[in-house]
Amino acid sequence: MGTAAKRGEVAEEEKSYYPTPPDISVLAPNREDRLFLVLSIFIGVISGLLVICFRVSINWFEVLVLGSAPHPGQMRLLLVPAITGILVGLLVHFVFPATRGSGVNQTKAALYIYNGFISFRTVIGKFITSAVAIGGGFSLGPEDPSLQIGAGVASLIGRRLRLSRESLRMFAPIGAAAGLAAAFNAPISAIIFVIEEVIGRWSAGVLGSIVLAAFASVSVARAFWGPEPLFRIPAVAINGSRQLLAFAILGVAGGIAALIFSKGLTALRANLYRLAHWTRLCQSAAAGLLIGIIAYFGAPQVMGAGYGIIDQAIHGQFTWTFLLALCLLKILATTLSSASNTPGGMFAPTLFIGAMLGASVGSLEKVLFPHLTISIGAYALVGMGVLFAGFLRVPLTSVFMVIEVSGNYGIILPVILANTIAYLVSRGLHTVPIYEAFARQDGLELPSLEEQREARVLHIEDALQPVTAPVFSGNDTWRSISERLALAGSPAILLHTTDEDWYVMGREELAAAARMPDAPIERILTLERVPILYPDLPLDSTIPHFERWPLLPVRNRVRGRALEGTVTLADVLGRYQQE
Amino acid sequence: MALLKSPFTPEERAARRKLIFTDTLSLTTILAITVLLAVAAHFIHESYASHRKSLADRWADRGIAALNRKEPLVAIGALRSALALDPGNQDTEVRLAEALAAAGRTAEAISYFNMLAQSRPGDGIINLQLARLAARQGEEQRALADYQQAIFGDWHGNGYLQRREVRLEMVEYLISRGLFLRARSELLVSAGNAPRNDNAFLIQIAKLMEKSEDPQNGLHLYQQVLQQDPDSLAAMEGAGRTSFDLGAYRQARRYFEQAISHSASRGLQISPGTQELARQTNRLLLLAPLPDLSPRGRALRILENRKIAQARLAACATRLSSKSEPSATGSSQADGDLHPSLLRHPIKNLESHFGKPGGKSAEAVESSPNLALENLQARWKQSKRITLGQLERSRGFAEAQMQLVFDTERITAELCGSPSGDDALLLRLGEAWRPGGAWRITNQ
Repeated sequence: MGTAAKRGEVAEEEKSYYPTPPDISVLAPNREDRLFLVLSIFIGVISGLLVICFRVSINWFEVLVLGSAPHPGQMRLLLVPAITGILVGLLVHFVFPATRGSGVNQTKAALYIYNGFISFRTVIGKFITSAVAIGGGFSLGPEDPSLQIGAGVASLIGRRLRLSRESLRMFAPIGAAAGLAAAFNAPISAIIFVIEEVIGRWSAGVLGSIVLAAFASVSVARAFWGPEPLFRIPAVAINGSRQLLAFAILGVAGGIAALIFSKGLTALRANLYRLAHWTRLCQSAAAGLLIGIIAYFGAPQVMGAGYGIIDQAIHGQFTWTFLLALCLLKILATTLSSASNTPGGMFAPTLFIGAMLGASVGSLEKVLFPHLTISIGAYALVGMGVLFAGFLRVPLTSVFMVIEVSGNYGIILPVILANTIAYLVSRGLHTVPIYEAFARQDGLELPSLEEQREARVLHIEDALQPVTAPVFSGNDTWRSISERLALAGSPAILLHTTDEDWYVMGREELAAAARMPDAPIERILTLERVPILYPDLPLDSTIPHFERWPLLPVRNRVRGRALEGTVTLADVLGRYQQE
Repeated sequence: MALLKSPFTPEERAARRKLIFTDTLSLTTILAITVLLAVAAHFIHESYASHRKSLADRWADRGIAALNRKEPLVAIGALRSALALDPGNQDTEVRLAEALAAAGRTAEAISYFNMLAQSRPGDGIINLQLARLAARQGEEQRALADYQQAIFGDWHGNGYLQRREVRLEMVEYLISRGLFLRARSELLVSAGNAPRNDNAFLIQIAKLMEKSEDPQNGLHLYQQVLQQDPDSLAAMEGAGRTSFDLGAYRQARRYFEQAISHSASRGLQISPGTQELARQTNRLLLLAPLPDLSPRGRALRILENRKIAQARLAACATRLSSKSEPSATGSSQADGDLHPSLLRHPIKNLESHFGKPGGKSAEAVESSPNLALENLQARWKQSKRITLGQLERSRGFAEAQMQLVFDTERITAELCGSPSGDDALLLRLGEAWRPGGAWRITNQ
């Protein structure tokens, strides 16, 4: 009910924003194409600046309320997350209702449901509530909100310029890529994530603008933070393929951890949804209190995004038992934070859990097999990718993300191996990806991009049939054809023309040729060009042609005049029905 | 001339102009917002960066202070906080690793230092810390390798001085491990690299040479210092000590006398060890039957030495006989007063002095100390009555008497423990004894 109300509320707001654009398309038909690239750069720059302000606001707030070095036993650790939870709960409930959750699904909803519309209030609200929540100790990260803030900026700019509905839709992922790129300081990962998780397909029309916006935002971010990647990565070297086995073990462990994390999170979130509506006001506060208890009694490291702790883990500063404890406690703290719908992202906690798990597995393997020469930093890095692949279910992004934040291509093989294993384990045991599960719980029917990615595409060869239609030469006369055709009873014939091409002739055409019964048939008719089809083309590419042609010849790519077979509409539909 | 006709009506042209105007205005507004946002971002970023830096410095200072107060656990917390605020600060990283090591978290510290060494393999301080940790863990080879890396590593500030200090630290480690030969070569390198006028450092090297059982080179360095600074009390004392170790007792006496008079005239305090060594040197020179003495004087000294040795033998025999009974009943307490080396390897030691027992029974072996003592007593009986004249007349006879004295001191030292007083000096004198009657002290 809540979602429906929200949808109605947004729709009303949306209506008031949309201009009446038909005049513009007539007055300046190329206007949007010209504006698109310029605006992409503006979106990138503004998103980058906003993300900087956002990140610094989180840090400022964190230092102010939690102190510069939180350590167990400080009373503020117990109180601050709970108080922050109350504040965030009130803000989300009464002022910024559209800022709940991470921001990824909201951006997808803007793209698929709200025609690219994200209100200014949502952008401001996401900024404030996420900064307060993350700075106040909730186990959440700034990346997903940055993504939504970026998408919101793009939406605002698009509306200000009175762009068409179609352009506004395309703007949302451009802004999302820009926001994420600035937050991660990793443009390629951001672009791939947006394509993999938000758009779901490689669209040439929007790719250029996404790349432009992402690079503009990262350039701005680097002007402030410098060119260094998100983490300081020690030298990583993998000696010998046998050591890959160590990463395979990490892949399995990561898949299981991702499974526990996603199952726990979706189950708790579903249970919290079932509670009375008023409880949502205090769910964040309760989550904050529990996180405060974890921090107060020994693990303040689980609070906030935890980049500093990831850095320390990469540099081998913890024992494997402590790393494992941090991994488990972070899963718990993030589950509480995210299930309570507190605004904030899941990227950073996923990286945290992955890094701790990786470093822990690596340290343990080093204890058990001291001859292993792989550094703990390598394990932590691969661990981050593993959780990304297993939990967020974005395998391509996970590989590029690790390479981009490490700047080391030498690690690509272990990353691909471990990520694939983790992805397969997680996918095999938990079929619904986390963002999709969240969307369903929120009452949104967003397209499953994982299914889209993995859906089997049928090709013409899947419905191809041997040539059964009668084949005639272009020199044959109507009389000879009709005599032989009477025996065959086929709806169409294949005509092999004198220029070695093929033509499909229906019975009506054949009847029309009866006026000159003894002339070569190809001289009587004005031959249209038959569609040139090959077996590897998508099966659905044949459908538009059946209105004109009852039968389609499929040619060989090497010997262009030779036929591989034919397809009819019945063949195509029959093949689809088998799926 | 034909006029170009616009495809738009006047209303459309007006709308088009309006569109261009609004687009320009919108883009200008966006640009202005971008600029304002950039200024705001710069302001809050800079303010936070400076605040963060000051916090990091504050935590680092607290950590260093705690480390100096020997509170490593407090230091670890503070330094970790500093690093969280200022990641990659090399000084803080090294301090943190030091704190980990000081807190006894050696494995963690080694792992941390190894990580630092991966990024800065040639860093002197990191390799030095790794060497110290390896030394603490008893990993000699690794410690020495890391010390070498530290010596040849990069140092901030005065690299020469820091490398020199590391080399001396390595030498002390080598001495502690009994690797004197390598310690000596390192010291020779240090001495060779040292500036000629750096007397304090030369004295430091000379002292380490003494520790590494290389008094010869030590004496050379002390003498070198005295040439440049004849008033150096430390050099005088050191030269005296090393001369004493080398058996150059007269030379040692000269240096000690010089040191004592110098300290008295300058109001300086001479060390009690030097005073005692000076006293022993004087006494030793009074006991020694030096070849440059008159035959009578030498004979008198031999007679006095005989008396001292006889008294020592008698005391040792009484002691052994009083302890033989409880030892026969298997009391282990009685063995406690015997010389430790004899207790550890009684048979080996006795073999070295009295030959292999061959097919002797276990009882015969156990009675070997008594046998040695009996042999010695038999030798004393044979030379019981000797006269001053005999000693004066026959140099060979005199030397045989002194050999008996030295053998007595040596055997009683092994059977009854280290001697003291004149017995200890005679034992030392015996070490400088050469068959044929010459002492190394003769010419010095």
